[in-house]
Order: sequence, then C-alpha cells, then structure tokens
Amino acid sequence: MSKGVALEIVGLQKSYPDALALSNVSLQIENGQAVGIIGPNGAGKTTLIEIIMGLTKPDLGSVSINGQDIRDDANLTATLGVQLQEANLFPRVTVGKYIDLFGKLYDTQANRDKILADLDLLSHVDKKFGDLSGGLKQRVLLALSLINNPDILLLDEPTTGLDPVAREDLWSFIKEWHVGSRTLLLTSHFMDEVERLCDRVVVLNRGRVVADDTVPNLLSHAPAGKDTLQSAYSFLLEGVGHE
Amino acid sequence: MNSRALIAFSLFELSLFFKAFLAVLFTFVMPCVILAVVVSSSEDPVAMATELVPVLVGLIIVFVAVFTLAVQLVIYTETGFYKRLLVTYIDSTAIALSNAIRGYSVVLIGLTLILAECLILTGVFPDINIFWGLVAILIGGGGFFLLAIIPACFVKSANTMFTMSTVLSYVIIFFSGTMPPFGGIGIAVNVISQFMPGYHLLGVLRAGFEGDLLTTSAMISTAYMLGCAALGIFVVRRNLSWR
Repeated sequence: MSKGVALEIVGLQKSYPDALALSNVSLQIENGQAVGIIGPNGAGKTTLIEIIMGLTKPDLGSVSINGQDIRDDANLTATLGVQLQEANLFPRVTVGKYIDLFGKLYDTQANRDKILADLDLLSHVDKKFGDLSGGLKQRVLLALSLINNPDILLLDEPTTGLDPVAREDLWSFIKEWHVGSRTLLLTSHFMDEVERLCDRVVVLNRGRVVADDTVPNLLSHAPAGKDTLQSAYSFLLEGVGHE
Repeated sequence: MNSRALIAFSLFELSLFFKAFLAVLFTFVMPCVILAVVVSSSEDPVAMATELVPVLVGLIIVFVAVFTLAVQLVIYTETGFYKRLLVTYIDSTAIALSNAIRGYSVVLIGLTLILAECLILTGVFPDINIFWGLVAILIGGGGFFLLAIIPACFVKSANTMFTMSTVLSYVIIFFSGTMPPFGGIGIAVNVISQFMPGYHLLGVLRAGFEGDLLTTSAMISTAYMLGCAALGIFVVRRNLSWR
C-alpha cells in the first residue's frame, strides 16, 4: 500500500552553457523511503538536490513536496532538512550559537538539546566551529539540518572527507533518524554508504536516470560475481532496464 | 519573509561585525580620531564639530556598506553559507534587509560615539537636528547599503570584492565633496560628482542634520538615494534568487 508521495520530480531538465546537467529526470519518492543517488562526478546529483531545495532553477519540469509545487510556495523548501555539499560556516562562531541561530530561522524547532545529545555534541557547544575536527563539523552540519524537525532529509555527500570511524558514527545516527515514516534522499560516492542507508538506489549518468530500483533488484541484473554496488558500479552506469 | 528569522539573522550578523577587530577599528575609531584632530585644531570647535557630524556619519555609511556588508555577502556566496540560508525562512530580500539593519545599527552606534566625543571636546552638543538627521540616515544609509550589495551580487570572490571596495571607496569619497575643495578642481569634477551616490548621500545627511530636508537639492538627493535603494532591491531579488 502506498504511504503517500513525499517528493515528486517530473521531467527535470537543466543545462549550463557548457554541459547538460539533467535530462528529463523524473522520480517519485514515497514517505518513509531512503533513496540514494549515485553516479560519477558531473552526473547531475548536486544539481538535482539543489533544484529540489529551490536553489537552482530548472529549465523544464517541476518539484513537489507532499503534493505541493515548490514554485507555488517559496517557504515549502524550508520544511526540508538540508545538508549541502559545499556549505561552510564561519569559523569564529560557536556550535551553540549556530544551533540557536538556525533554530530561529525556521517556524518549527526540534528539541535542541536532544539533537546535540544524539549527535554527541553537547560537550562541544561552546567550541568555535573552526576548532572542530572534520567529523565534528559534519555532525554540526547534520544537527543544523535537523533543527527544523524535518520529515524529509536531503544530504549531499554527507560523509565526504571523514575517516571510517566518523562515517560509521554518522551512518548510525542517520539510520536511527530514518526509522519510521521519515524520508531520506542522499547523494554519495560511497557505495557501502548507500547500501547501508538506502532501500532504493537511483543511478544518474550524464544527467539521465539510468537505473532506479532496490539494491537486491539492481544487483540481480549484474553479471556473476558483482554482488555489491561497488563491484557492479560500472555495470550500473550503463543502465539496468531503465527507460 | 519571517520577521522572527529576520531579527535573529540580523542580530547574528551584528555579532559577526563586532568579532572583526579591523572593521570596528575603521568604522568607529578612525572617525573619532579625525574628529578629535580637526576639532581640537579649529578656531571654532563647535561650528567645526557641527560641520563634521554629517561627514563622519557619511564616512561610516560608506565604509560599512562597501567593506562590511558587500564583502560579507560575497563571503556568504563563496562559502556556500548563502545557499544554506536560502533553504530556511531567510530569502534574498531578508538578506538585503538584514544587511541594512546591521548597517543602521552600526551607524547609530557610530553617531552616538561621535556626539559623545563632540560633547567631551567642546563642552556643548553640536548644533544639529537629531530627528531629521536620523531620517536622513534612514534614507541615505538604506540607499547606500542596498547600492553596495549590487556589485556583491556579481563578484565571485571575497578578495575581488575587497579590491573593488577599496577602489570604490576612494572614488565615492573623492566625488562626495568631503575631502577636496570642489571649487578649486574644475567644472568637470563638479558635474561628475552630481551623478555620484556619495555626493547625494552627503547631501541628504547635511540637509537632515541641518533640519531641512525640503530644499530642492535635498529632495533631489533624497530621490536619488531612494532610487538606489529600489535598484538594490531589484537586483538582489533578481540575481540572488530565482523563486
């Protein structure tokens, strides 16, 4: 039975002067799904995420959040939890100050202390952002993405640059957050991350969706011996029965 | 736009300003030093202090606009912080307004310091009209703050913006009529200056602090600064957001 559509993307097209970023991309993501978008650099992953967030204007197509077109309500994207790939914070401001600021930039606010405790950040509240390790910075950015208590979380390469332990910590938190009816959409270059966190994988290549299915279904089409996303990656980029 | 978000963000920006030692030094300390040097060597300190108040307020507005507000916006864009903000209830108009609020707050602090210093140096309050002076700050400052954001919408890096700001500030101050005796320079400079924002900023401020914003020249300068504000809002909305 359908749980209702959290995100609907219809016929997205986006080109830049020197490249076609997205070509007729359509996706429907149900409430409670965890969807991973994979693909090589320049495949269009970040462009897709930024169009969903309302940060980039598509040439064609539309994005709806819970059935509402984002062009009809500029504040609709503020209901999303968002972690951007290249968003950085000012180094001389403390973690606590950022959490308080972002809490006030939304209509709804999650329990500040619970988020900080869940992400093991309580002891770092008074530290300046610039003094934190890479793993802690990512956790702060994740905390900011959850401060508006979102039901849909968009993460653009959330663990890039982290060591294995920090990645594992972040995965555990995201997995725990996703339990229930919350929706997760993430882009990643780490196949183990997508396998661990997502129940559906969308493969983008040269701006097109070339595969879209659950991990077991995608791997069932792969040649013998290619039983992980990592090993079947090149094969998946060629497209698996996707029109 | 959400007023709670706007106030929270404006306060955050104001706190960032006070974390920058050089910004505070050049915005507050330098005008106070100029005032002390000029007034203490004048034969009529009260008249000189009265004459200098609008000039120093104008200097503060120029420095805040081109070195703090415009550069900050470029830093937001460069670091990705701007994109992150746009997925909250802060939109491009709120960013422009919060810039103006921060600018006004800094200018009012500067005005208070200048007036206090005048009182200490001369023993009397300068012969100015505070109410109309504040109205002039509202008009001239708003126009100038929003005008300074226009290049920030197109410049890609903070270093470029700093260079531009430095060059612009010399041009703005030279053509404002603050420094050189215009009569001795020639007719061309006189004509050019009448099309420059710094000239009209000073025109509005002088008229305001004299308590007469209804003269023809003051009204022309007022219309010029309001036009700058409208142009700034138009460019910001057009170039910093597609929604």
